[in-house]
Amino acid sequence: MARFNLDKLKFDRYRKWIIPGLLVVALAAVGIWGYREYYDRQKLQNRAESQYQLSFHELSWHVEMISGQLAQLIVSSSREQNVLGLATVWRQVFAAQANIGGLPLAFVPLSKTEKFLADTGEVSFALLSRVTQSKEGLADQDVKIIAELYDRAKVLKNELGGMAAQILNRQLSWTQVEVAASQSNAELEDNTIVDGFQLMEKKMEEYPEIDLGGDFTQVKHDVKKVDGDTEVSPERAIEIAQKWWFGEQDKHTGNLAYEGVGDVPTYGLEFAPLSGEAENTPVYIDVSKLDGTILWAMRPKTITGANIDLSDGERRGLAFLQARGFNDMVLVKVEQQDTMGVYTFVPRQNEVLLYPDQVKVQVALDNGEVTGYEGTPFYMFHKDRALPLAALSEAQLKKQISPNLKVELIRPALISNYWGKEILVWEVRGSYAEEKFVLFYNAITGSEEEISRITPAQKFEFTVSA
Amino acid sequence: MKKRRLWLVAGVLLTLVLSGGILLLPYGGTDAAAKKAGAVSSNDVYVLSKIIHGEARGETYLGQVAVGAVIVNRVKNPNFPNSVYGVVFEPGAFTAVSDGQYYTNPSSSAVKAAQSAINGWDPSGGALYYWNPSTSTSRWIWSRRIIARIGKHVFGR
Repeated sequence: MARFNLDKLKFDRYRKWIIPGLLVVALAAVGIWGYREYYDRQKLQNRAESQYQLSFHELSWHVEMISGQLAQLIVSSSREQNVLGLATVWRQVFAAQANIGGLPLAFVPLSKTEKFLADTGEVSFALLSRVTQSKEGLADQDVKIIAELYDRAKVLKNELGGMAAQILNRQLSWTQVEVAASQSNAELEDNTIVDGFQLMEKKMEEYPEIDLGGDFTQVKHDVKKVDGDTEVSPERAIEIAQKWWFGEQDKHTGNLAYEGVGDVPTYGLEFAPLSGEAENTPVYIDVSKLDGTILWAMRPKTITGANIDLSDGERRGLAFLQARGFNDMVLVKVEQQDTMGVYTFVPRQNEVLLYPDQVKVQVALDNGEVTGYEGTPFYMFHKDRALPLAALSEAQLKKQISPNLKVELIRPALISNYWGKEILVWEVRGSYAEEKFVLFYNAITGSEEEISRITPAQKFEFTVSA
Repeated sequence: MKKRRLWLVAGVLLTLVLSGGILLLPYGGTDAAAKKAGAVSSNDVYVLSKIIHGEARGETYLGQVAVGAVIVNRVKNPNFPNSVYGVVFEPGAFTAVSDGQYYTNPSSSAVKAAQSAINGWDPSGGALYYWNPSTSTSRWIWSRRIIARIGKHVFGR
């Protein structure tokens, strides 16, 4: 009893302090929380900053290595040194490209700088593959191109070096670049780092585009105009597409969803589903404006499961193609993606498989319906070709193949190499342990043009939102 | 009198619990409804489907494939990083990565669109950029040549 009274007394005495006390506690809590937030944010920002600093300094360092290595290539006359030098340049270019990709410069146009790196990569790769295949080192012509690349590398090196000094001395921050870039484009102009990159880009622009010569440039293909210069009208395109995908007696109505003016001018058509149809998915068909050829089509229906196997799907895909006039098609690649089979077919000329002219067909493995067609390469490249005769016989080829490869198939084919140049080859399919390979041997010179591993990739489970 | 004291005690307790809660609770994420849905053969298809979902969730299937195709076109272009990962995670390149929408689970439509884009279907006709004209703040982007308009997005290169 007495104790209770005492408590009550004390309580009354300190009562006026209770509310201010609570406020102090609350304020302290908020303060500590705020400081912690600030500290965490600072830590993350420092982490991002150090990542950017790493990318930038590595970029500067790699470009310096590239220019040094290019200079060494110019003065060296040894084939072995050439090989090592070219391989080093190629590797450094790859690293420098990755470094640029790690910087928050997505909205700073750096196309000349990136073009220089890409050119240097292409040239070093091309020369590397040639020098390793021949007994000769670099020719005068090659050295001239390397010298041109060196001039540009020097500019890059100096600009990046200057910027590095500024960044280090004046403690400029990359995260500020990032913040400025995400806010608006106007503020970017006041940023020292961005100014530096823009200046570098300007200096690179002063150099003319390098003429890399026939060996190193991608072969450009003209877009076909089969029926002359008169464009197909959208109405005509809809008619063609409807007959092609649905058949003659069809009631679907199509409309023009968009027009494309990329490599091939196209009509993007959309065919709405009919009211009675089980599923509400439209069919999209892209038609070339130039002559009404179907470039691709897709119907994104829900696939409920895999009830038929891949070879059933192949038959459906092949029948789909045959019904549309593709007569002599050979399956060269098949891949199961979830409940969908993706088949790559190529046409044949005489016995030669024409790899550049491929078409792809997607088959839903629940009911075997074709849900996609992609024939852009066929449209771009397919024609009657004057094919050379193989200088290397199949018997000669067999002697050349590694004894480690268990050969399953040999056939003549036409491929287009890294630069789009078409080469007559022997295609060899085989395996080693559980790995499967396709090898292409040049049918004229006998050199191994390309080797790729085609072992199916390991599948992994993924999660989608419900 | 007694009632007021009770209020005071409750107030003290509430303040302590709240401030303690603010200080001690770990930062937690929320788990959205998710389900296992199948298998893809590579990480890049899945990464691509996540960026498509983050960037073009409200678009038609066509618009989703087109966004995926832009990323695939960038990978093939020498002026951009050489992998799907490099292109997607290029700092500042995609809003969905910057604001974290990338980190949600993709819809099955986005996964299908990613597969089509990787397999070569390209409604954009070879575009390297796309932007939403009503929300884009960049003036530079308008210097690109426009080659298609699909849904809310403009595609260019």
